[in-house]
Amino acid sequence: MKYVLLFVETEQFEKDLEAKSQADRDRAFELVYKWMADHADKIRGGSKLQLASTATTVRLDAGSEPVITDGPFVEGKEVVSGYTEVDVDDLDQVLSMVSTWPGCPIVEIRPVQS
Amino acid sequence: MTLTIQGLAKVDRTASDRELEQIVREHAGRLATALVRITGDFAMAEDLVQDAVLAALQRWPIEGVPDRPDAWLFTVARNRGLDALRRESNYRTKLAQLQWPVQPASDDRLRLIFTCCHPALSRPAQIALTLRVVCGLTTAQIARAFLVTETTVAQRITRAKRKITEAGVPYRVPDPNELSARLREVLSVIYLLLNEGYLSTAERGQSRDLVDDAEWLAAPRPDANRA
Repeated sequence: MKYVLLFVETEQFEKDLEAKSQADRDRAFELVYKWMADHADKIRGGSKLQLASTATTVRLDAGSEPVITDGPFVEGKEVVSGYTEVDVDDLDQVLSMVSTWPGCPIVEIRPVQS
Repeated sequence: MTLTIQGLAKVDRTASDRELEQIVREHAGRLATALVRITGDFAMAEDLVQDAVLAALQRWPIEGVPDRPDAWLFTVARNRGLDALRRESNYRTKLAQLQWPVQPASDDRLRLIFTCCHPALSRPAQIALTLRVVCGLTTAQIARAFLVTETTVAQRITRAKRKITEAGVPYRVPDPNELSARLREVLSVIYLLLNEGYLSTAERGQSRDLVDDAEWLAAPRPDANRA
């Protein structure tokens, strides 16, 4: 089964990361790369995204013309910061993978519609 | 149908219905378990058990209760399941696995409980699903016990079953390293059942059912270690 992992960052997480020394930040990224490498056999692509402040949203239900706005579609303290598609047997496999994720504090797991 | 047969059927109906109720309570979980294992589909397994119970409701008052009622129910459910399985390419291998009683039964029930109490399901859904699939309570009974409407219970169960299928919630006993966390989840559900049954304002017979079911679920299983 295929799932998409949506990595979600919080304001606090961002602040904590900024407060770290460069060496600590590098170490944090290394852990993430190691996690990616450990699960490379199950990962089918994905990307880290630019900051939510770079997002542009288009609304097509607001009238006859599309409405283009600056920012993510929901303004909130929690924003999607990256995604990864994984191919595994079942939900428990994803859950055990995600339980050791060393990055952002929230991960949403969504099965891919087959 | 003549008057005599109608009258006769009426007299027998109460007796056979009572027996059926008891058999369903005792075996519904195992029947569903056996069918889930074969079909890999919760909703289908449950529908098959319900079909079999419906057939029993119609036929037992007239034909009498069979010698081995649980086997009778299984045979009916299996026969109906065959039609569905035939459409699948690997039905021959599955066909070979179809027998009653299914061994090892309690390992299977354990797996079923862990699936029903999976943390990816909401707590109300875990409880409703456990009572329905593992203990064989009806939607109406569950609704009465938890003071919610039947529609609410039915929706919870439907949504939970859809999630199990579509989100790929596995049908297995967790690995030893995840067992303790998952076991807590299962025990919470059992505890809530017992509590609800014990303190419930619902009718007494129903409360007794909940307490019985909770005790049955919590009872030590000598072969659980093999699961």
